[in-house]
Amino acid sequence: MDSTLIILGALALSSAAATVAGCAEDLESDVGSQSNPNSQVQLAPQMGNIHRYFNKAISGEPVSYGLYVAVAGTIAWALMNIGMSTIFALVIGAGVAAFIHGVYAVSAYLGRIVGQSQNFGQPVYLDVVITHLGPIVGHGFIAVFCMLLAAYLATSILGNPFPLPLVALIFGITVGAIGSSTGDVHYGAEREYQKYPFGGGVPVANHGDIDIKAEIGIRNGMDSSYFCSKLGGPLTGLTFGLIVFLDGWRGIVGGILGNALGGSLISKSIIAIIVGIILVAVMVCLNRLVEVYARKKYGPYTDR
Amino acid sequence: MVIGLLIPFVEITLAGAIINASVHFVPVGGAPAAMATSTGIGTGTTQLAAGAGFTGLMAAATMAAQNGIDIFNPLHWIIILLSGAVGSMIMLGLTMLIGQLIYVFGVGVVPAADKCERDPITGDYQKSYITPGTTGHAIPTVCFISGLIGAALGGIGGALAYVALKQLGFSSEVAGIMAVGFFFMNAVLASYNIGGTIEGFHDPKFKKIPNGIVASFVASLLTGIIVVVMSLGI
Amino acid sequence: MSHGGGGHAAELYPENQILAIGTILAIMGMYISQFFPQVSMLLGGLLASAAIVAGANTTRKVAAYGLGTGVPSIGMLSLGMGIISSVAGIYLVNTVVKILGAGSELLYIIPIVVIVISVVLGYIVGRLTVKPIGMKIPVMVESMTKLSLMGALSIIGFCTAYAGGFLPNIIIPGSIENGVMALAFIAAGMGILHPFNACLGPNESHKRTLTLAVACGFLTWFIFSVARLDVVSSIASIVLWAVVYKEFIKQSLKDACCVYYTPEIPKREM
Repeated sequence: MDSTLIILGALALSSAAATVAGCAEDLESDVGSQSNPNSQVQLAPQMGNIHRYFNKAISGEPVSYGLYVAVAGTIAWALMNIGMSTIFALVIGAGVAAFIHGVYAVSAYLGRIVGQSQNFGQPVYLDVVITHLGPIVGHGFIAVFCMLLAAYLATSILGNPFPLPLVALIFGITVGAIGSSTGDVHYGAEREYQKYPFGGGVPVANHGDIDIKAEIGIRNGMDSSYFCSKLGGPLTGLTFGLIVFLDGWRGIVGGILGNALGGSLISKSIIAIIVGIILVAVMVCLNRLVEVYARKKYGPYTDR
Repeated sequence: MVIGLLIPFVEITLAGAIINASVHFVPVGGAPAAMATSTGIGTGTTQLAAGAGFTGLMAAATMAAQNGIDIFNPLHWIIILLSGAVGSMIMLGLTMLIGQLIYVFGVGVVPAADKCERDPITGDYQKSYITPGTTGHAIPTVCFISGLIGAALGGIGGALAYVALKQLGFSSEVAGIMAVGFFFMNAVLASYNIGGTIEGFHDPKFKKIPNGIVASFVASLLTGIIVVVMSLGI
Repeated sequence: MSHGGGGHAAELYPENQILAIGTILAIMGMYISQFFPQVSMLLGGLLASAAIVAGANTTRKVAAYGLGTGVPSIGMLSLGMGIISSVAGIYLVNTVVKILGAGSELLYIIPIVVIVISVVLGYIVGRLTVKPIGMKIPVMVESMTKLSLMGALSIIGFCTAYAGGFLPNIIIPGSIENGVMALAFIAAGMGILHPFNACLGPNESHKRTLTLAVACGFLTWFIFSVARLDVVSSIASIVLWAVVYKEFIKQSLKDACCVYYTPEIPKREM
């Protein structure tokens, strides 16, 4: 079969996996409240808001996802070395990573809550730990498995020279960086502060004054995951899927155009780089369009 | 022989300085940005720079691993570095663009920079669009461009470190893991220099960049010496 | 990530005591792995986790001052330096043996060389963070030196345990070229940065943080045991981990102001 077709298929599959991974990663971090928005959950008891959020301060998302995917990748690689089938190896690797994830999540919750419990009167809610652990580990498993699949495709078909554990580590760090810089904004700036009117940043004076009441009853992390699955999660997935896809796609375009021109490897690579630069230029234009739209639609503050 | 060692040594020293400089360009707002309380991307400096730099490192490594690419050929060398730069720019560009979408449609804020009266690129007036009590939010054009410059430099820096290690004769695997450690060391030094948040090249904090570059230059010089002596034992 | 400095709670054991014990145990672990490769994961892995405990303890000391960029950054910095010094130590001794034609017995000093390089690198990077960068933390230089040392020891400790020795012809194919060092980088890094990052706060106690650090060390050992597909050490590590982790949970529940099992908000009276 044509090798370009195989590469295109592998690229499509790994982009799809990356999309699912990004989405699951963001929703998982919303259930557990990890990464930057967590600073507000951490601050809440000092501001007098006793809350029932899960306080999953394992570390920044990039580092923790780097760990889970690297664990899964190393174990899957070891199992494949003794002859286990690829899919089984990936699943078992992701399973062990899910266990590690759960362990770190529980110790982070207990550590952070107890670390300020006496001074601010924040109780430990064991039912929060038990009910939230399932969604956290489950979403984490989906994310880690999909990342691992993308990493496996990168090493086996897409020509990445690094060993699987290293690629897994790098993919994990990247997905964490993307998840914490796109989707978490929706959770931190909107969901935690829904009692304030839509359409504005959170002033420093309001920091820590997060919503502790839900639509019905007392809010917990799982409501947040439902809310963020409408915008933050899917867009995070889209970001990561597009990154994996566009970065590979420009190489394929370079290959096809370069072949058509009868060119060498050099001209193919140069075309790939030019395509990449065009893509970046398009992003700049889109960003400007969104900015202009927002300025026109929302307008300046006139009442000060 | 001496030239063969000297070039990678210079490359790795420069790579450290470039990586450090790159981090200063990336507009990161840290935890406050995640609450739309300050301008920039809502995550930590080091991790975002690492995410972008590693995407570039992988793009460069994939390019360098293709049949017919010779890392000692200057033209090929440039292509590897540019591949790294473009890979990083795509990663950070998309992250900022989609982050922007969430800011505008999910949170409902107007992109606005706090550290300048007017956007130096578009000339848009900024101050009146900032929510009272915050120091700007989202990613206005100047921050976006600054971020892209930072990503390009980060990709070049990561690729340069990788190429230098390859030129010294390390295998791809060893060069890759060393480049990751090297990148983290320099990115953290830069983030300590920034001290949390920065908006981009128009931010007054950007003037501290020489300190960061000097620190990384010295640290990379030391690493360069170690690495060159190491390479004799392969 | 911005964290307020948690202040300094009373220390259970002096930092340098933990540091010295961690260093000695980790070095012992490496030599045991080298000379008795059949128990390398069982004993070498166990002793390598001592380096993680010592590193986590030093992280607690320096991060309590508030770094401005969160606890994880210092863990990554220490492991970044650790990875450079571990790979450097292995190759440097190899260089000396190859070029100066020294006897191959010299290769057995690799762990010592790694320690020297990591201390030098950590000291210089620590000085750089003070001047020109200008971090205003009094213990910065000494803490960076210690963290670089612990990062290097935990990376090379677990890599040696995985490969079954630290001689270049064993560890380079056995742990570096197959990418296991990437796992050592992030897993040891998490073990070093997580305990304090999890436990910080005004009511942080050294005892709890240290218990969690021991649990994280054993968990890292468990990860490597599973990755090596070593059944005996997997079971040994998970049992030890469970004992310590249970102790951590018990202490946490004891130190909490109250523990609830139902969704209710306590009446504010304090």
